[in-house]
Amino acid sequence: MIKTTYDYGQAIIKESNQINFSLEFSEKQNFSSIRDAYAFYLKKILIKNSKYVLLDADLGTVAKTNDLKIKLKKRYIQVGIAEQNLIGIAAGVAQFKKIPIVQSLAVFLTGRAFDQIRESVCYSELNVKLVGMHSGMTLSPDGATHQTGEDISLISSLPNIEIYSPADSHQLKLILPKFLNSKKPSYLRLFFPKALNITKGRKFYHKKIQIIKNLKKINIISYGYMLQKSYETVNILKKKGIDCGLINLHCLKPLDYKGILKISKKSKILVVIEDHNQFGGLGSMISSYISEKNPTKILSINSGDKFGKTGLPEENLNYLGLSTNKIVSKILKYLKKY
Amino acid sequence: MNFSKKKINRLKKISNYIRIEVIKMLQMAGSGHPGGSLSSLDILVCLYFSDFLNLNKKNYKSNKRDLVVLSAGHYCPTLYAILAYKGFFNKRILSTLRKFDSPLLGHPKLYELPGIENSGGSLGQGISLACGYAISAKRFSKNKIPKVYCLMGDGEQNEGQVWEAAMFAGHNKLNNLCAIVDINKIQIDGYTKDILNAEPFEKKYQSFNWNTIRVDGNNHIKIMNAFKKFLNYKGKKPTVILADTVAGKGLKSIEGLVTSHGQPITTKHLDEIKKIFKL
Repeated sequence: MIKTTYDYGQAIIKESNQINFSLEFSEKQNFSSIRDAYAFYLKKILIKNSKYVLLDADLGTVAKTNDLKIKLKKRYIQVGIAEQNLIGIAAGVAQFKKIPIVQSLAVFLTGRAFDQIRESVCYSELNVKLVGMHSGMTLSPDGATHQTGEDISLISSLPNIEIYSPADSHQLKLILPKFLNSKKPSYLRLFFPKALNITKGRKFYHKKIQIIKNLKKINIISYGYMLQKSYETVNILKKKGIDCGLINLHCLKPLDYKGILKISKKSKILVVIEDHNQFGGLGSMISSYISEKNPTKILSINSGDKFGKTGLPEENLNYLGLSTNKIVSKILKYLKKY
Repeated sequence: MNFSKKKINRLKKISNYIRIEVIKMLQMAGSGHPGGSLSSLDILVCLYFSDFLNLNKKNYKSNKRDLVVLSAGHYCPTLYAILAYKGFFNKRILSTLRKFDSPLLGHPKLYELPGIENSGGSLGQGISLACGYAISAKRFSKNKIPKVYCLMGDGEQNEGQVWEAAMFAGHNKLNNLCAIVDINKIQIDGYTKDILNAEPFEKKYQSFNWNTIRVDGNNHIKIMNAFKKFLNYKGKKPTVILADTVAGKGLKSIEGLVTSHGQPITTKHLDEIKKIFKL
């Protein structure tokens, strides 16, 4: 059991650790790319633990785990470009009491193989680990076919599954062992651009909200890559004389509803920022819960109801209203109104 | 593997018992899928009640067991009846098929009861799961490599995932895998030859690097011979038994009809089967 009590800005540690193994590597490893960090730490874990089997659908090169093919030998399965079969094979591996780790682009994994994840994994309660790479709207040079604005919406609608979305490499290092040790089907959501290790040095409680900047009357909640943009937003707003709190969520399912409720009770306005479609993302989850328990003004900033465009990540985010400047102006406009 | 006339007669007798049981279950449920449940019944009886299948109520959790995947999940009344007769669970619950909160769901759920090895309903998924277990069994088994059997329908062959898995099995030389296609020639909207013709199955599977065996799927001797061929097969290819069957087999009034796929079974049908078996 993990018990955590909140004293708002300063949370008190009360947790017992059930993790079988943890990562104890040199703190010198300071990755800016979450994908590099994933490949690095995954190798460390997989080589030592024979219960894991790695499965690729012709995207091992993208995950930078190609060399694991040789090292894992029998524990590596290449299924080719066939995501539906990929999930089925993983389910069969799990039936054989091994733990399959499945990698693909988030959009193909959650979209193409949704029915297989639903029936063969979640409904069957088979412990399959899903790793979705390049999620969100930042894999922009490849165009909207490769961007993912619906994975949270799709996966969170399935019972029995957990969703982890680390905000940076430092957080990935903390989450990866917990993700792999979890007995439930789990989805790990990684992203493409480089990111500052914002969560480094902040208190971290597994599956709980994480306070990045102490709570104020206006509080921003974000996850994944958009924590970068949210962090910049907070700094810009501060220069304009508006103090905001900043909360990171690394676990979107099960969502830390208690933590969010406590934040809402402290807040005049909540701002939820995500590079996800407006339907079924974190904004939707928080809005439906808070409107019932403690109605609070919520400004939901997301990619709206549209597909992205091709171009640089920053250009695409700007088009979708998710660049720092656009976010700041949206918040200022909202503050003027309310 | 040898099978005497006595053994075959025993299998035929069991088929009769299970057939009556399945029709009773479907009548009590008021809905279900008699077409496929009855067409595949003789194949499943041969598989479960002959002595080559290493699966019983004691070892069903062990990695040494053979795996039977029912990819065509709607055939489950037959699976439930067989498992109950094999002692995996109490026969009394067979009457709860499709009733609220029954473990005998309209389509099976993995581990809901001992011996249920996959969740099936959305077609085409079981064969991938079978491949996943088969490749794991080949790579990680210390001694004897377990065999994997997977029963699919012929309508199910429309699903693209089946062919993704077929390509995977052929490529990875899963010679411990035996897929069985119950070719009962019907699907919901019509005859398979009219909806989306998947014939010739032999050529398709052979081109995916499979070993193919075509048999009469309602003839116990021929089914047993097909299994014997698979078990004696020394090559590296996965095997598919293409079993020609009759939809609704045994219930003359619905045999071969497209409507037998999901036709509700009434007391009229029950009387018919009782008359046939002189009960």
